[in-house]
This record gives sequence, structure tokens and C-alpha cells, in this order.
Amino acid sequence: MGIITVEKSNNLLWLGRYTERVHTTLKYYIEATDRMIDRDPGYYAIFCEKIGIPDIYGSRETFWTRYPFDTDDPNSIFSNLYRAYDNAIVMRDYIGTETMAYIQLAIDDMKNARRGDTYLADLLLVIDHILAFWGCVNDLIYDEQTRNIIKLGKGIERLDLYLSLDRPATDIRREYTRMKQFLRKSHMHYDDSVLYTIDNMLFEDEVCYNTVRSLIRNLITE
Amino acid sequence: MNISVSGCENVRQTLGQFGSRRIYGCIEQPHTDFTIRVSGQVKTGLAIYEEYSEAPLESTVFRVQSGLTQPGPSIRAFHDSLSLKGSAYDRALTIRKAVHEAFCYLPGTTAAHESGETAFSRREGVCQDYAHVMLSLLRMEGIPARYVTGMLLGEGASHAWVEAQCRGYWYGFDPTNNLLVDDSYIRMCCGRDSADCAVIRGTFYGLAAQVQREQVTVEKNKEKL
Amino acid sequence: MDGLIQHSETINKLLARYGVKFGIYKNGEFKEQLFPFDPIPRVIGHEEFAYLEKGLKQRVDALNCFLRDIYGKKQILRDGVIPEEFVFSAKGYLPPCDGVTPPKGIYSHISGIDLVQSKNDSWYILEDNLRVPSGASYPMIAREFQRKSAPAAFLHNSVIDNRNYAQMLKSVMDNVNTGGINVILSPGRYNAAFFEHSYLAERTGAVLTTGSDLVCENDNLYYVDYEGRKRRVGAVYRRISDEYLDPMTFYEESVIGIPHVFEAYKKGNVALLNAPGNGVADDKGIYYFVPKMIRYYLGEDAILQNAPTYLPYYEQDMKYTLDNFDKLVIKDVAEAGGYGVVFGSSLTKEQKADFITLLKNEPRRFIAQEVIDFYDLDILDEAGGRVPRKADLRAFVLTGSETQVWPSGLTRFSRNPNSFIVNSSQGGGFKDTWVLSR
Repeated sequence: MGIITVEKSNNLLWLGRYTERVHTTLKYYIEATDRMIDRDPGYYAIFCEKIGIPDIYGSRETFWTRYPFDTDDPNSIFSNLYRAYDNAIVMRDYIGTETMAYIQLAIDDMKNARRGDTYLADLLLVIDHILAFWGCVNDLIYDEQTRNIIKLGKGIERLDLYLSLDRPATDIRREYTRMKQFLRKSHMHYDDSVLYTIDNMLFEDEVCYNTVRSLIRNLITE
Repeated sequence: MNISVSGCENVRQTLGQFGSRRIYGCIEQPHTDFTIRVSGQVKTGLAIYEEYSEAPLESTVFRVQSGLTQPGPSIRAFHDSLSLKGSAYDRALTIRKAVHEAFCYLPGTTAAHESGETAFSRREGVCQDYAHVMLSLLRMEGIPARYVTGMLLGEGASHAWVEAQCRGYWYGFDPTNNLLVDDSYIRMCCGRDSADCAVIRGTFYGLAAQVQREQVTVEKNKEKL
Repeated sequence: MDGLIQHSETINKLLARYGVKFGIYKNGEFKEQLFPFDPIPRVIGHEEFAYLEKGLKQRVDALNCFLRDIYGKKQILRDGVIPEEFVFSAKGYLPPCDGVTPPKGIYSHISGIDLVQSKNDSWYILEDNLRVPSGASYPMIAREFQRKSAPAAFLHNSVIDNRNYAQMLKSVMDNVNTGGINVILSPGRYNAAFFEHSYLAERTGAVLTTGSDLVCENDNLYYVDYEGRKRRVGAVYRRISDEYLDPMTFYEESVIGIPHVFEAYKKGNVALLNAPGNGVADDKGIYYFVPKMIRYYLGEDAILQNAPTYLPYYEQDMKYTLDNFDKLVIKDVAEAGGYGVVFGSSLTKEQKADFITLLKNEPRRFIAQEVIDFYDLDILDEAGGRVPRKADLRAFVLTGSETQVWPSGLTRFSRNPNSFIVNSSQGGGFKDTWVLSR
């Protein structure tokens, strides 16, 4: 295919970002839920602070159900999944009906999980289908450009979340190196000097996560 | 004639519908305004009315109602109240006078693409509405008639009137001023109704409010040409 | 065929999985809905299809001749076969198209012809859709799922594969392409048929666009990528209506069109499928004259009949319409999609009187038709039993280097037992249409 317009490159980038956001926040949510059962019932407030969303929940139980499922909450996982869907549906001709189906299936999983009372276990299916989606991206999208932009989006989002969640510096360095590959191959416009600054910062002993994160957010230029 | 568009290097020409000439172009760079200047000298009065051929096909498109002349209850009732008799020319004169008297000239009341019926139900409007209602009535009478956009000596804006087929010519009737068109009228283009005769049209990308100003100056050339 | 019914749940699941939906506005809000699918296919025998095929080709060829004539020499009007005012007062007649010849002289590349079968087995043409007929993608993808869920049904019936629609469509685009890529122009994802637009783009290899990335320069159309490179466009399969196509020529407020594309088209630098101006042939008033057109242009008798139609414009037909008002269906010529349809028998006394006044005031605006006694098709109801419902068939006729009929079609049915209206916008569902090869 090989012709990607500005609008479409944005859709692909955000498709990558939102699917990754669903994937990583869901994993973190499942982990955090476990922690809240007995060890740390008020942890949801910290959770919200870490991933940078307002704590509108007020109680552990409300958080448990609203954060993953409430589509009226713009920060819920489901809302992010719908944003991924919004970016996918306009790209059928680039990513293919087969690949798109996994986003649809993740939405259906989400609805099923919301209905049942074993939702923590049921939510694992959402992760399965997101992973299947990534498998399709690798396997079925032959156009390199298309693939690289989606993966760039995924890489940026993952890095952003890992920085927010205070993951170890080794994880950050690894994800940063992966993201950089896709950035080069994607032909997106980016600021070389920003990249240079991050390069230097990451290999210092004390990495300032906040600064790196804001630099990452300004990496792609229009 | 001299036409210039500020900020647009590539201006092209084309022939539009009903024989009108159009120039068009595109300004790709971001901009906040642009100006079109048209200036020139026009000699009028040489042949005021265009002859028409008797071949029926050429005029049918002007005999049937078009989007903005579609009559509704108020125009229909008005038509019933007129006693129209005689030749096409006589009926056109009667209609011109009746429309002129029934309407109250009120600038600023008409929306850009408002139908004659809508304006007439208020009995308020501008030259465009007068012309639409007159066209509507002429066409109800089976008289082919077309909308004309042009300029008038001394006016500060463009003007609109009607041409109807009578006596072998496209006779010009100005219902707004209740006059026959003479050499103080400068004709620009014609069509089925005002939607066919926009002097300017365009579109832009971006989030901005749009203001359009139009200024027309028509002066008599004092020197003899 | 029992397999299909048994596994209808599986097919529905697959339709959901692959997002086979259409959009609908309810109370001002956009919603995506699954298009209700019924597993019992409409089956058209080999010989019957051969007859339909012949009739449909003939009709579409004549309609293409008509459009070429109307926007050209207008001979059919000069010869008095169709009253001129029927053409010039048709909403779909577009003066800017006068004198413009599309690439290879083809106006209607993709025609959707709606037919119904009556109880006595004859087929009648209900309407011609020569602007932007939609729906082919649904039976195409449904077939894919039926073959997956009930392969045995296809083992024992020789059903012609209908999944070649995309190739047919591609060759129709390639045939008129003026040198460049093919694009599908969609109004965007909030359009009812967006699934179809994106699916056909995927299957034909055309680029799906909403117009914002298309630009006209020097009367050529280009597609601009994110690095600013321009690719010439040779054919636009546009799924937006004429009015919205070019704000510089048609509806000025259109934000989904491409400014100046009409100039590029006029100069022969890009093909538009279907050509602008085709609406004149879709007009229900013009429909009346199609059999006369076939005779006029092709010198043949129409193979497929219109539903018996009256034009109140003619005095004699007005009289008939008034005398038989209660048994007729009256249609507003400018409306489509099941709107503007009135059954004489369904009106109250006052409504009837009002309607007759309107009819007398604007006779050109309406046609009257005999109500056809539909041959009903069985559908599966929620309890799993078979119930008869009204159904029509949209046949897709594609005109490339030659005119071809897609060996399938969209069979739409009304879910409401008392309704004749089958349109998806009004809650109808669809079936696959099988054409047998033997």
C-alpha cells in the first residue's frame, strides 16, 4: 500500500497507544486489585495518582468495577479500548478485517466480564485478545510502514506508563531502545535533539523519570 | 477587464453552467484574509435583450420550477388572487408590479439560500427574494424565466432581477425597483435561481469565523469612448 | 440447507466478530447495529437468473444511453419520447454536468436495481439506484461465514461463488481509471454504510479516504501522504452524494467533498464512479419511461417489467389514480430509502383529502403504482420457526468494458409482518442470495 496520510499515520499511532494502554493498565489493575483485597485497601488512590487520573472513586469497591468497565468515565480501561476501536475502524483497509476482529473481540470480552461476577478472571480474555491483535499486527500486516507506526505508538505508550509506574531503570532502558528502532523506521517527524537528551539521561545513575516522560511526550512533531 | 486575487498565483478559468465564466483557484498557505478585485469598463445598451431561439429544448430548464422558486401556499394563494391576462409580456408586467407592491424591502432578513416561498410568507425580503417570487409566478404561467445577477449604476452591492421570454427576447424585469431593465444595468450571469448565480463561492479549512465584505462601485464614464 | 439453519447462531457470531454493522441515528445519537441476518437464503435457479441477467443488462445499458443522451444531444427529448420537463425538473438533473462526458462515456458503473417477485412468479422492477447503491458487501461476507459454518450446504447445492464482487468492482474502477490510484471516498465512519466502504477498500486494494487527504492541483486530483508526497488519483469510487461532492460546484457548505474535483473530472483527468448527475435516471418519474428508453435506444422490448405505474401528470393517469386511490401506493419522486411512500388505503378521510389536494397541486411530484402481491420469503423467527415476510432483491449490475450482473444480490426483508418496507434504515434485515450454476 505504502501511502499513509497525516490523518492515517495519527490513527495508526493512536491505535498502538490505546491498545497498549489497555494492555498495561489492565495488567496493573489486576495486580493492584489483588493488593487491595487484604494488604492495602486504599491503594486505589495511589494507583490513580501514579497513572495520572483523577480519583473519582471514593472506595475500593467502586474503583474495582468503575475503573475497568465504566464507559462514562473517560479514564476507564473500557473507554480506552473504545478509543482503540475508533482508531482501528477507520483503518480496515490498512490493518485488515482479520486483525480488527481482535479489537472487536476484546470489546465483547469486556462486556461479558462486566456482566459476570468472575470479572477478574474474565478480564484475562481481554488481554488474550489484545495479544492476538499484536500477533496479527506482526504477522498479517505486510506493509512495513503501517506496522512500524503502530508499534511506535505501542512503544511510546508503554514507555510513558512504565515511567509513571516507576518501573526499574533496566525496564525503561529496554523499552526505550525498542521504541527507538520503530521511531527511525516509521519515518514520522521527530526532534533529534530530544532523542539525544534522553539518550544521555537514561544512562546516568539517577534517572529523572518525570523529565524523561515529558521529553517522550514531546518527541513526535507535527 | 482586470481581475486579481491576493495571495493566489495559480488562477484558472472555466466555463460554468448556463454559459457563465468562472475563475477559480486555491491558496494553500495559511492566511487570515484575501481580496478579489475586479475592475473594468463596460459598455451597455448595445443589445439590451438577448434573442432566443424557438427551439423548445433550450428554454424548458427555465420553464420548470427550481429549488428556490418552488411555490408553496403563500405564493399559490397570491397567484390565485392575480388576474393575469394577455401576452407573456403583459402578464410579466402585471406580475412585476404585483410582486413589487406585495413585498416590503427589508435588508438583512433573508438567509443565504432561502426560498422565495419562505421570504414571501413574511412579505419581507431583498432583491433576491423579489426575483425568486417573480420567477415562481412566471413559471406557474408557463413562461420561461431566469434569474440574473448583476450590478446597477450607483448601487453599493450586486443586484438581481429576472429575465422572461417575451416577444422573441429575454426581457429584463426588475421587480425590486418595478422597472424594465435598461442600460444602467450590467448583467453578470444567469441561472435557474440564485443558487446557480453566486458571484463568489468558496470554502476553507481551519477553525475560524468567516466574514465576507462586498463592495461594488459603478460609475458612468464621463469621457466618450 | 438445514445446516445453515442449525448453525445460524455461529454465523451471527462471526458477523459480530468481524464487525458487520451499519450505522443508524436514533434520537440524534449515532449507533452501530448488527445488520439482522436471516440464514435461509433466497435461491434463484440457473435459468431464472439467466433471464434476470439479460433483462438487467438491457435495462442498465439503456439507462447509460439515456444519461449520455440527456447530458449530451438530448435526442430522446427532441423526439418527444419523454416530456422535457420530466428531465429538467428532476431533482437529480444537474446543469453543471451538461456537456461533460465521463471517461469512456460510462455514467452508471455500479447500478443497484431493486426487484420484487409477485405471487404469480413474475419479477417487477421497483426502482433503479444509479447514484450510490449500497449493500453488496453484506451478502459477500455472509457467504464467507456460511461456508465456514455449514460447508455441507454448499457441497450439495451448486451455488455460484459471490465473493468475486471485489474483483468485479476493481476491474470496473481500473477500466475508467485515468492513470493513478483507485480511492474510495467515504463521508466517514459515522455514515450508515461505513463498514461497506472500508471492507470494499480492503478487498479491492483501493485507498479509503474521507477527502481531507485529497487535493486538486492544476485540474488533477492527488492523494497526499504524511511525508507530503503526492500520488495521482485516477478513479474515485465515491460513496458521497452528488450535492456534497464538490463545494465549488454543488452544495457550498459541504465539508466532506473535494474542492475543484468537478473541474478535474470535466477535463477528463479523473474518473468518478458513479458519474455525477445520475440522479435524473433514479427519479421515480423517469422510471416510468425506462421501458420506452429501452425501445428507443436499443430497439428492443423490455425484458423486465416495471410495476404498473401511473403518472398523475397525464390527465388520464390522474383520473385513474383518483378513481382507484385506495388500492394504489403513491410515491414522492424525490424521496428514497422507503420514505415518501403512502398507501392509499392507509389514510384517514382527512388525510386523503389533503393528499389529493397536494397531488393536484404538484402532479409531477408523485407516481402511483399498483400494489404488487409480493411473493413472501420465509424467515426464521426468534423461536426458530419459519414465518413469511415481504422481501425484495437488489441486483448489482456493474458496467466496465462490458455490463455484468453479479451472480448474487442483496435480499432485504421486512421484519414486521405487516410492512412492505424492507430498508435497513427502517429495521429490515438481509439474506444471502444464491444463484445456482445448474
